[in-house]
Amino acid sequence: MRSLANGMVAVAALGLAWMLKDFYRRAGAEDLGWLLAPTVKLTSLCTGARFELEPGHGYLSRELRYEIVPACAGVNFLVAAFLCPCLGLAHACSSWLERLVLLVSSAAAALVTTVLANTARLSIAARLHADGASLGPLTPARLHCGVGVVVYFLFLIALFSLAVRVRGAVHEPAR
Amino acid sequence: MSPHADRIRSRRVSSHVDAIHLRRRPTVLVPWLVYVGVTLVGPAANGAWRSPGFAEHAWITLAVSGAIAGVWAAAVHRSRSKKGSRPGS
Repeated sequence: MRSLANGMVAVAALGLAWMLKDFYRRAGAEDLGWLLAPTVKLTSLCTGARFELEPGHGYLSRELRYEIVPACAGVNFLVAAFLCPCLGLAHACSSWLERLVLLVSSAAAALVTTVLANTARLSIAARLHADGASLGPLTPARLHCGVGVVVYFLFLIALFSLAVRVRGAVHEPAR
Repeated sequence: MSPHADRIRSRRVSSHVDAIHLRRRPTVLVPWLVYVGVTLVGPAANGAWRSPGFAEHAWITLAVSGAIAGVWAAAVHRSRSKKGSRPGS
């Protein structure tokens, strides 16, 4: 019975993730403002560069010659960051309240982590782009991809590790 | 012991066992599977594998994330081995 209920949590999480991906397929810069705006603000603080909104396109920094468009919003990472604790910890839930708390807290944590991870990634990428960095066979495009994987994956591991610790701390019996 | 107290005790034991299992399970496996699933498997299933840059993107993602996952798992395993070999532990 518990396995069935926890399975339903996993299915619900996958369903929500699919809906977000479907929204993202059709979304423009204005539709993703809730994710892009805080990311651009933090990126601007980290890089010291100003980003201006280009309606219907994205955010542009003339000094870095770098633009942040909907593809840079980090929605795929947001989906991964939401699914990670949901799928990894659903089996450990023993009540409907726990399952609801898992879904809601995973969504909130995923949003915060996405903004932070994307800020880190864009700050590094913008600086590499401005410097025209490349390393032998690592062309600027490959470097951009590799840096993105490193930043995103490390943040994902950190998020899941924190979720496991919090879950363990909440449910360990007091000594 | 009353049936109610029995239920509370068994739920606490179950939660404690779950907490132990969570600590022992490699923490990096779930993030790696989810990351590869969302960034590669999902898009590939939607036809992204046909686009020219997808293969290179897939190689970079698998190589870099796999390397990080391997190093992380090795570090965690080493840390747990050290804790287990300490006297009195």
